[in-house]
Amino acid sequence: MTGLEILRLTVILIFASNAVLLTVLLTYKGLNRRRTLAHARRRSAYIAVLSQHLSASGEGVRLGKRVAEDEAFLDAVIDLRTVLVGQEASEITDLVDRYGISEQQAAKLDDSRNVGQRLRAAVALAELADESAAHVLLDHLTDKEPEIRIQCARGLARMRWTPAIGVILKQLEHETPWVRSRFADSLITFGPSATWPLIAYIKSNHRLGNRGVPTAIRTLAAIGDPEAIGPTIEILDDANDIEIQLAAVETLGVLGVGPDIYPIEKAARSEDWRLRAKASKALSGINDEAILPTLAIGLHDINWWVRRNAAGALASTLQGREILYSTILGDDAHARDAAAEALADAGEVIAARERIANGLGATRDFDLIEYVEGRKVLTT
Amino acid sequence: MLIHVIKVLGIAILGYFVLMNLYVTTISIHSALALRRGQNLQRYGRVTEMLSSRMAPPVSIVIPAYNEAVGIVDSVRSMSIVGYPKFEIVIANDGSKDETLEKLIEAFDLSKVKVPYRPDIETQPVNAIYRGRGGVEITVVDKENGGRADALNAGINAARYPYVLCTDADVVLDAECLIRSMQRVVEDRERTVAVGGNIRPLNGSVVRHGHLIESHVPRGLIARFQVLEYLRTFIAARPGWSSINALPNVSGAFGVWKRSAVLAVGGFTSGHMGEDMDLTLRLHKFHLENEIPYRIVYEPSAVIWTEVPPTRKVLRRQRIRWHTGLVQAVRDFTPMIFDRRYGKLGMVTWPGYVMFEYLAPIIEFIGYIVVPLAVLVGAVNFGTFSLMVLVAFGLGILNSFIAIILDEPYGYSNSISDTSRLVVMALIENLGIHQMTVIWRIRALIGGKATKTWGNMERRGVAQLSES
Repeated sequence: MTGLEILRLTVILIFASNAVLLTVLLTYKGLNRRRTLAHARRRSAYIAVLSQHLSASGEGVRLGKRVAEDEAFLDAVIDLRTVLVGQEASEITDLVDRYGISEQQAAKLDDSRNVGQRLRAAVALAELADESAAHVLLDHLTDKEPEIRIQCARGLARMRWTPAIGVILKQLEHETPWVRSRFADSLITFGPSATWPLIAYIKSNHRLGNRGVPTAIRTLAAIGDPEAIGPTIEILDDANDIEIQLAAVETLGVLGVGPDIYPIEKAARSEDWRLRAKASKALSGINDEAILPTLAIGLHDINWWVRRNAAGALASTLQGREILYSTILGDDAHARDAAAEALADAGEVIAARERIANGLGATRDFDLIEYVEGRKVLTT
Repeated sequence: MLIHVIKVLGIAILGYFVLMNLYVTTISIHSALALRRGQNLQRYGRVTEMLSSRMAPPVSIVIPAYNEAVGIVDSVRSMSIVGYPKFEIVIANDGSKDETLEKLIEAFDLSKVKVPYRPDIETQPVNAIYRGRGGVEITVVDKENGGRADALNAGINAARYPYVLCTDADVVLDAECLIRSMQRVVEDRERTVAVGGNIRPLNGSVVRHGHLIESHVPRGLIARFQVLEYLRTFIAARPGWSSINALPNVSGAFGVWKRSAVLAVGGFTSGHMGEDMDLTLRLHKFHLENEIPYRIVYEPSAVIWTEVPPTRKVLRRQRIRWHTGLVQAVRDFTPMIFDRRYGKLGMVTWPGYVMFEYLAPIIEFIGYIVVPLAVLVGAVNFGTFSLMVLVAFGLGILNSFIAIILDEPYGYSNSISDTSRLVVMALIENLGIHQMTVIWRIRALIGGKATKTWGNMERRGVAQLSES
């Protein structure tokens, strides 16, 4: 075969490929469009029929068993299940039972080889939150596809299937950060019923270098159960791992610190600036004179975040604000900036201006205004 | 002898085009494989669940603005309702000569605040900082003019959150773009230092009050040509590069950056025409040289819409600026080529970028002269010449078709007529339009000094954008 013949053959091959691709494109486009439109139409029709059924208190629906195989019917049921509550929601649950939708989706999740179909089934089961599928979801918490694991945890949380809490926690260590954070969202959905399992998990694992522990601690913050305050302080006092300490301080910053403030004060004097910064923030809003010296030291810290958070914490109490006012007259330029910013954020600058305008300005009001108006915005 | 040289040169140039298109085809196939899983997840998954997530890290949206009075308020309004649990908007007003600042102050009830500003990255002096009193946290940094990169740096300095989304003032954000890009961050917070998003041309689409209502392919040839170019870049190339952690550029119009990583390499380079590529490459270099595990990823489902130049004049200016940026990047990062220390970036992506992006206009231009000359002087017979041209053009069309097919599952070009327009464009782009850009890029290569780092796009404002 000569070079020219090879070239000719190449041209034919390329243009034949182009023709094939164009055909694929136009066919795919046409089919996809038709399928999407037809699906949307059927979905709307099902919603209409199901709504009629609901308004007739479960007597109105006249659909054959085979509709359960239609993807549009599944979407319509999910749509309604998501928006309805009370009696109407339980009627939808009856429909799900009657048409065997959960069993069908559970079978797909178990048997299908197509990852898309399996994910679709997991999402459907999570949305339907039908307890009959709990065991299937529990089995698939260790599925090889991360998104399926996430949906299973979500489904179990939506149906408040508390036996799943322990299984999810057990998985936490081995998961990627993405799945771990989504598992944490599911644990949050469980609410306070997850508090003590989380505490037990944290206490038994925090010395073992378990990567799931910081996430578990932060989950406590998001749940917001005050019962977690005491155990979290104990964990902070006991932990050596900086990530665990950071998570504990952050959590206390959200939950409140309770009566035993010593571990937080200790953290506020840590060598790690992140811990100092978070501890200073956690001390915000505590009306206790004992913490003022710690925060006043933080105001002169070498790190900007620590100064900022310490100043913010001081600004949250009246006694703290006195310290901030006196700092403005001090020698430390960085502390002065932090104090001025915190006082401005707390509305003191506006209040001082108003007092001065009304002839009620005190010396410290003039000092504050002079300071914030007299210096440049740029500081280091 | 001369005839022989012309013959060899002519065949070498045509060979170069074949090689270039084969390189692009290989990346496209790689991208197709990378996109397959993502499309399944996008179709069936529920990324929006993350909207209610308490574990989502907060983000600062940084918008540099220079003379954006026409559309800045609508832009910020459209951005302020982007779906994400916690974010702030930081606008860096780069010494605008129009009423950009005044419009912002009026629309968002901003007031001057005397708060310390940390110049972690050195910038032009900051005159004042304004903060809003509404529900969305809005901060405006009013600074002396210093160019786009300088404004971005000022915005990053003022940002309070660990991740910054750097974007433009004239874009329309898709409601899920932030959540989809941050999903890639949450996947691996330790290693992810940047996430690039998918930029799509807005021309021809219907936009109301800063929101995209319907997407269409524009009728104008110049804009339509760019739609195809964007598809080849953002759908057929970047997913492939991203899958081997060798993405050479996180687009300046949409990039989520880890703030601490950006500070570690000194932020965007002021005065650079391609500051986005420069920062991406410096981040690669920094992490590889210091052996710090990292990843820079691309997320095709995180979409933003931007108006592309609708006229030849504006497109010319933009292309000269872009290619000048590439020239600067090649000047700075040439030592990375075929250096094993830089992994797949040094061995695959960057050499390919230099060979087939940076050098392409020169070789193409020489080709337009030498190849016909070779036919004229009888060095190459007309039959062979025609076949080689057909191979090069055919592969170009093939790559465009692959890009259009890969884009189809995202459903942005809804109608048959939109797809047909793209198909026609793929067939005709090599009959003049593409050649225009070659000339402009050569202009940039031989020192067409683009001194302005801000583009000269005529702003209409996102609220008014739609083809009428």
